[in-house]
Amino acid sequence: MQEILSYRLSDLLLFSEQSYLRQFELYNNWLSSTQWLVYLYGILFLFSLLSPERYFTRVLFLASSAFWLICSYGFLWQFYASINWMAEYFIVLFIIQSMVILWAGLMRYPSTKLKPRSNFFKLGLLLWVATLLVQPVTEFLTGRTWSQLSIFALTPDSLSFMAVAFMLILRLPVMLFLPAGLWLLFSSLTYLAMDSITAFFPAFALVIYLVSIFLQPSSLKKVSGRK
Amino acid sequence: MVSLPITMVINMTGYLLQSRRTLLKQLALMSVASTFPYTAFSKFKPALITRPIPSSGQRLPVIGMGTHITFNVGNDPQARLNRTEVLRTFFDMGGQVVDSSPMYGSAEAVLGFCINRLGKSASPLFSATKVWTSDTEDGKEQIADSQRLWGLDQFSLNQVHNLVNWRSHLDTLLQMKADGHLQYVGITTSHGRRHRELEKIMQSQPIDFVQLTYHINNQDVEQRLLPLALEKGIAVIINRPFSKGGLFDEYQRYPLPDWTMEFDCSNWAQFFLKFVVSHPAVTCAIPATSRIDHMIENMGAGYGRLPDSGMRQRMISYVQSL
Repeated sequence: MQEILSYRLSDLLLFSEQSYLRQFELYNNWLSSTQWLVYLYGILFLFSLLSPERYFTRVLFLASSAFWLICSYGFLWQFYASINWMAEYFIVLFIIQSMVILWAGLMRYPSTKLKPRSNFFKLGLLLWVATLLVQPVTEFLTGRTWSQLSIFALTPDSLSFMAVAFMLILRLPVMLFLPAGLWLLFSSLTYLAMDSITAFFPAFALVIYLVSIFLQPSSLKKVSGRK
Repeated sequence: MVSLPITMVINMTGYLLQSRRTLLKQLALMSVASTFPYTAFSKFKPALITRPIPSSGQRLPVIGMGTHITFNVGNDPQARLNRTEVLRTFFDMGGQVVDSSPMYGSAEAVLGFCINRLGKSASPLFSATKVWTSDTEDGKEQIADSQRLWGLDQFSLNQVHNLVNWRSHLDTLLQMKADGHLQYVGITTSHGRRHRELEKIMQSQPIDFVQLTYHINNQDVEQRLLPLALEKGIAVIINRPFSKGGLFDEYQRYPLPDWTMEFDCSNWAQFFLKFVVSHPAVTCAIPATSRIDHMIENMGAGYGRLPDSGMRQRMISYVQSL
């Protein structure tokens, strides 16, 4: 036990920050220009909040489910897993997350009454906008090149932020997004091990996720709470 | 094309200077040193300082290379080509010992890629890897995987990584050695951990190599493990000679004293490496780098003179005074 405690977080890191960022660069290159379509989705979501329609909510769920699959196959499987074997576990978790969202969208929560005045809604909206705008700009300012930025809904961090925002805005049960929460924990630790200030983002989203577990209305804590 | 800094040329040629006439010739050579192409070094090829492996007498250059973190670049084609050039520089400057592990992510696969691209340039290669799993049968598969990834029929050295399941893996490796499928058997530790257990293994097991952490800021191994290695005839590989770059963070901002020229040292990397490899029990050090200029600096530590015991004390006193 003493030996385990003697390890620093950075001792467990098997790759350099440069290699990690290169995976984003290669992945963004692989995605070609589809990022813009996804970015458009992020903006359309905000508009849809003005008057959410049943079919549109379903589209949002479907799109979100697809993004988890794309990220699992594209970023994790094709690139990140080649330098970090832990990513292999997240490939599975991301597929599970995708399936859960698909199931929730088709079977469980096809329409949602929004509560724009609630703090959850406001926090979710804030997180969504931050993922769209603040995260890429901050990454750029902290030294990433344009080609190394986390693209909205297509890289694990931004996808997980989006999931937490999605959860807060649509008032979905926290437990549905457990894989996203686990990724946020993993990502925070990875950046901390690199001494990277970027750890702030996933850590912030993780705190929101954890706080939601305790503050969400009890009716939402059960997955089967409503239909 | 990489040009060698003039101090490097002085280092590498200095020990060859036997007479004033030779010196004049070398000075003439240095006058064009600013344009000295790195490739010319291959033709020049002075020999690195070597040390014998006690169990066989085979000599190894005192500077090898590690691959932890630096060679874990996955499928990145650009980074793979860069690492190939790093490895080419290593071999061109007389390096032989390349150390890796299945624990280092894609490092072994990347090494295999580089070695394959370098072809005959990647020789002579002293290939060192590790077995790192708690399961004995998985260990056998891992050994076979490593051979496949490196593209080798057999390794020069295989080591039990961080003492994990060491009894069983040691049996496997010793059997491989007996069957002629492996030249040397070793065991590793790092970060200064589990030294008591390592000492017991060194006392009781017929190992050829031990790998451990040693640097100018942490000389614990000088007390028991290094003297024991000398006594038992075990070769010693030093990992983390820069304390994972920490020594540079701590000391690089200070000037290198003039007296370091007395042992042909022209930069901090060579200061740290020459300190480590000048210990009589040390066979080689395996600094890791992803940069060609750093590789040239590291390899420079294997040329010229090494500090004697008095100078080693002076080096310790100097860094302690900073």
